[in-house]
Amino acid sequence: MRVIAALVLSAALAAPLFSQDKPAPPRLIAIRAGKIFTAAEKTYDNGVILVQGGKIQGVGNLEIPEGAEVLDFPTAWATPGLVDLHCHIAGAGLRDINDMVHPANPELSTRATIDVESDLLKDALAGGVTTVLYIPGSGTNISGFGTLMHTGGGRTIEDLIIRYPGAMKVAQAWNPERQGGDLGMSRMGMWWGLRKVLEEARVYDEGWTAFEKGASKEQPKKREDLELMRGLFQKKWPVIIHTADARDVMATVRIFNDEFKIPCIVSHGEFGGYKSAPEIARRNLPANIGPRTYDWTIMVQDGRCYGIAAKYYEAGVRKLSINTDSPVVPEEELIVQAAMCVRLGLPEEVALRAVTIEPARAVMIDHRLGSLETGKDADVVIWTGNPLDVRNRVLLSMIGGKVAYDERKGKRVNFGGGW
Amino acid sequence: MIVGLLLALVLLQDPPKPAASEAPAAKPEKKPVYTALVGGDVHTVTQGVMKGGSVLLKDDKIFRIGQNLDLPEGTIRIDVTGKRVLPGLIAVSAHGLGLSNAPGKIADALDPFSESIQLALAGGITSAFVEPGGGPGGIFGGGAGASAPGAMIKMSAGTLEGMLLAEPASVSLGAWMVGSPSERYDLKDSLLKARAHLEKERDFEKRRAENKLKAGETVPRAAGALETHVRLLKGELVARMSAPHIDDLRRALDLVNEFKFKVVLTDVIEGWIIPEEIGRARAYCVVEPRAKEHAPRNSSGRAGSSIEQAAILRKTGVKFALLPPNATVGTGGVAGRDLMTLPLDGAFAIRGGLDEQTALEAITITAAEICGVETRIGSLEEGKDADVIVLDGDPFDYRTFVELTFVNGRLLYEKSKSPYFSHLKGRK
Amino acid sequence: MTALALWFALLAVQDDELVALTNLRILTVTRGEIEQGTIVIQGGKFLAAGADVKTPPGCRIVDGKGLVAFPGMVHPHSRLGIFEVSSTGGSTPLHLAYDELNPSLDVFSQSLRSGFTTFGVLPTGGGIAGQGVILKPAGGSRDELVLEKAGFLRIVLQPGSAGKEAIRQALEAARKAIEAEKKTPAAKPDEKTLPLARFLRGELPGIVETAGPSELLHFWQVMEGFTEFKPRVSYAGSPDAYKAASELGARKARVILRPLLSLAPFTRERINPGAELAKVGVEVAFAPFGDGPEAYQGCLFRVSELVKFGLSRETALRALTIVPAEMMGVEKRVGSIEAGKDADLLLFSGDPLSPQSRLRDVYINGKQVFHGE
Repeated sequence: MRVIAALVLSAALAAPLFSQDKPAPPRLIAIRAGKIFTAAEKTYDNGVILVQGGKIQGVGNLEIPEGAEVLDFPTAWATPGLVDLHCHIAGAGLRDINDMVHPANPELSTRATIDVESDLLKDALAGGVTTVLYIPGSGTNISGFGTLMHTGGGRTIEDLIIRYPGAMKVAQAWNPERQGGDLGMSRMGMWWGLRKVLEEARVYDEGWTAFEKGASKEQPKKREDLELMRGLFQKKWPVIIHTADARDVMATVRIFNDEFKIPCIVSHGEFGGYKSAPEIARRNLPANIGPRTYDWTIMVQDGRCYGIAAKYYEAGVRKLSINTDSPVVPEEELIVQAAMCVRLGLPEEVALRAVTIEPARAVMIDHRLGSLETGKDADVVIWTGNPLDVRNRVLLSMIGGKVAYDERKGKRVNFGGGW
Repeated sequence: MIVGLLLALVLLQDPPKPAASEAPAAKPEKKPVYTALVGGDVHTVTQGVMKGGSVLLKDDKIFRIGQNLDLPEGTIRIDVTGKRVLPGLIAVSAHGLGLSNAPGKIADALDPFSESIQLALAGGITSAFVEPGGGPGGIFGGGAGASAPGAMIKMSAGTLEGMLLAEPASVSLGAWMVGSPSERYDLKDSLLKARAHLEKERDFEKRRAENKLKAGETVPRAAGALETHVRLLKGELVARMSAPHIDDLRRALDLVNEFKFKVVLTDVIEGWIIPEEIGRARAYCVVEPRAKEHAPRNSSGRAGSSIEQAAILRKTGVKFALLPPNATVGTGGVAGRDLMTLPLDGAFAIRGGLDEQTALEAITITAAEICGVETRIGSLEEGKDADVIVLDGDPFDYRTFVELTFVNGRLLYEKSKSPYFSHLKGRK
Repeated sequence: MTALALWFALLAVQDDELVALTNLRILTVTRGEIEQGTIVIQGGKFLAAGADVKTPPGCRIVDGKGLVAFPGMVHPHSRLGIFEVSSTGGSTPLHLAYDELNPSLDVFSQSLRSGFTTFGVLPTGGGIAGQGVILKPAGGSRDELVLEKAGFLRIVLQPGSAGKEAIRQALEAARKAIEAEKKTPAAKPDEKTLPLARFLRGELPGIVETAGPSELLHFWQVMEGFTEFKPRVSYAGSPDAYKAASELGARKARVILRPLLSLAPFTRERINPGAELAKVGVEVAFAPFGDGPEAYQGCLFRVSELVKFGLSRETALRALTIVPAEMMGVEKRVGSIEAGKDADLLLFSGDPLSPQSRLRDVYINGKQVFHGE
């Protein structure tokens, strides 16, 4: 009898859990645009993007379901939110990005320095940039770990973070050279130091992996500074390397890809770095070009102005992305960087992919964003026309299905400001 | 006897003064050189676009503009079918362009062989307002502030002839904006004296016209700084004042409204907030569309920069010229932020709502007005200087390149022959 | 009386030493190259030079052993023997390099092995810096060294308004003095104005130094006010002078260069400034980089490098000899192997432009002053 009562009681209590009334489904939003550049297989004219629960439910020449909230932009372009892998502006300023006492600082991180209220992030968002890899500077060979984050759509640092760590930041040369008389003034010293840290981290990861898998009974000592580097060897996140001329680009490729087999992104690659582009292409590595968009008189000496991105592309590099190295170029001008690469010889479509899917892929987040495809995050930007034409501007930026910037709601005060 | 007297008279006369320089032997009449740009879309700026038109240059001037022109024998004929013909672009401020570091007048520091001139020509720039001091920077450009009034110069590579357009091309009234109270007092005092002098001059002219001059009276003369201010009040010179924010603008406009001179307000950030006040003073502005200044977070009114500034000024009838973030030329590596792509900043102004015609004027004829040389350059009109550029597309398209640049009728830049960009194919 | 006359005659014979150097390859510079010939020197001058020259009676014969004869080289832009560094600028036309010379310095004897036998030495200063001295380094006293005490005017155009104005004013004063003299022949230009008046009238050659090709344009702008005069001017200064090649060619100018290759802007493409200028009819002289054994001895080597990169052999050889002599107005005395000129002679073991050649002998005024191994 008591058992039956208990059963009935638990059934009664459990009833709301299994109520026949399902909770109301999240709102369905339909964005109609004159042209949809998906950064995937197809581009759609007069297409529709269906958004629900923060994700893309469909893209194409679709019927709009009844009850959907329609955002109608019949003459506009829709693109994925832009992605910049080389951003220094999400903190409180340039002082936040370099700590240069030691030549290698894998223990440092940008995460806690994020300034959610930053005007610069707002500008970026209103310029169509929805995702940035906020990294430390290039003052040391390993300056720390960067944070992959949205530029808006949240109130706290945690709200904005897409993934931490985003990537480890390394500077190969052309800035991290030590001037204080300690080891690391020359490439010999810098790269000896780099290799040492990488080798230590590799051994550390091996030891812990063995222990975690039960192959070894000895628990290794925990090291805060090397802990996140394990993710490199486990290929969970990449290392992004500030590198420059052809010799430095080769060193990057050799050390990170060939020797230590870590996912890496070759960043900057200017001052004649394109001469090593065939080696990058051969290994199918990602290259991240900017802020300089041309090589002309520094390390290149035939009097010609060469478009750097075009040169990498010509050499066969396909995982090509473009950056601003903000604040060197303001973050909201990421699309202008792409336009300049086109001006200097890069095909248009390659340039648009270079600020959407390719950087997402390089930073290993392409399963979530970088293109307008079913299942991915609804990070969508609406432009008055082809984004590469500087005369066009952003009308709306959406992050995770929520409108984070809408020009119609405020005045266009700054370039990329509407607050 | 009379002969003797006459002889004496002849002999007593001073021998004829030798000419200060012997009259140079009359130069043999040089045949004029004609160049014709045929069959392009001619953007005159002031008189619309002529499709399939031709521009005929005679020596250093624009001779004829029209369709199906009769070309004189020996004309150098350049086919510009499918291209656009525009006046040479004008930079209302340029650091270290075409100048050496030589002290003194800009006329004596001109450097026609400077590489900076070659770069400017490749960007379609044919004239620039330059100030001494400050050189071209690296990626960021910029230089030290100006130390003396500026001059208007042409990018006439290889020769001093025709390079100096006007010096001084402005009167700097910086003391009014950033000077100490006593410096401001002195400046105002000088302007008052200049005004009084001008009245004396006018009174003199009036009485001269009415033949009421006193014996031996001559026109009153002014010298030094006073003369400069008199010329300013007469409208012969333009003043430049840096006025970024509302307070600065109002301070500048106070002086303008009191003395009524032609003024160019430079570095204007918050002009979009009080455009009517600027309009009433008939002041010109120099606007950098991409200048960015955030409004202070606790500000109640409107503040900071706006990309819509150019469009707002236009609506109120205020005239302005445009500048890029770096008013210089260079090869530092970041494309699109300096004078080598000046039209790109026109495109940004258009992004902010400005119409294309005004954007074009802002880098041509209005820029010329701001520098006081609008009778010579800034538009394609018969009789104006032959400063002409040919583009391979819409001037405000980010992919457009300059193909030809003429200064004073000389072809100084050809994209196809220069190593700079000849390997970059234009788009179809 | 007769004995005295005899004694003088004997002395004269000794001074009038007659030497014939036979079996030489002779590069005369102005009268072609002679494969095998003889040079006769008398009284410190060239008496004859050629393939069919007969050696006069009583002549001391020296077998040239197949050496290559070349005129003693002329350096038009030197500071040999001067160590003052202060520069006052302005207008100091009366300053004489002659006064600054220190003839006791070893540099003179050291320079004898350099192959340069005539030097135009600049006075210290800027603006209208003063007058240079032309000298040969053989001799003990100042007057033994000197060919011309005040041989040319040095003008350094200091960039900017003040520099141009200083020159303009100095020339204007000279012009007024010339006009005054025309009116009243007794009214001679004063001491300070005289050198400039002589310059304007073409009597005193001028060497004008500019920082770059644009400054050349500025100098010519100043000279536009003085077109009634035709001064003799040579230009010295920057390796970029080739950028003004067409203007220099149109004026048939004379230019002093350092023996350097330049690079086309933004590239590593070599430009041969001397060749570029020679192409358009400019007369080029090469002056060593500085003063001192390394500078002097390296000069030939560098000039031969320029020949490798497109400079004509004739231009190169003239640039070290007759052209600098003309610049300084001493071409009647030095700069080539011609009868009547000073016997300043170099004997090389091979062609002077070949890096393997060694300088064996140097003669100044007919006397051997250096004998190398």
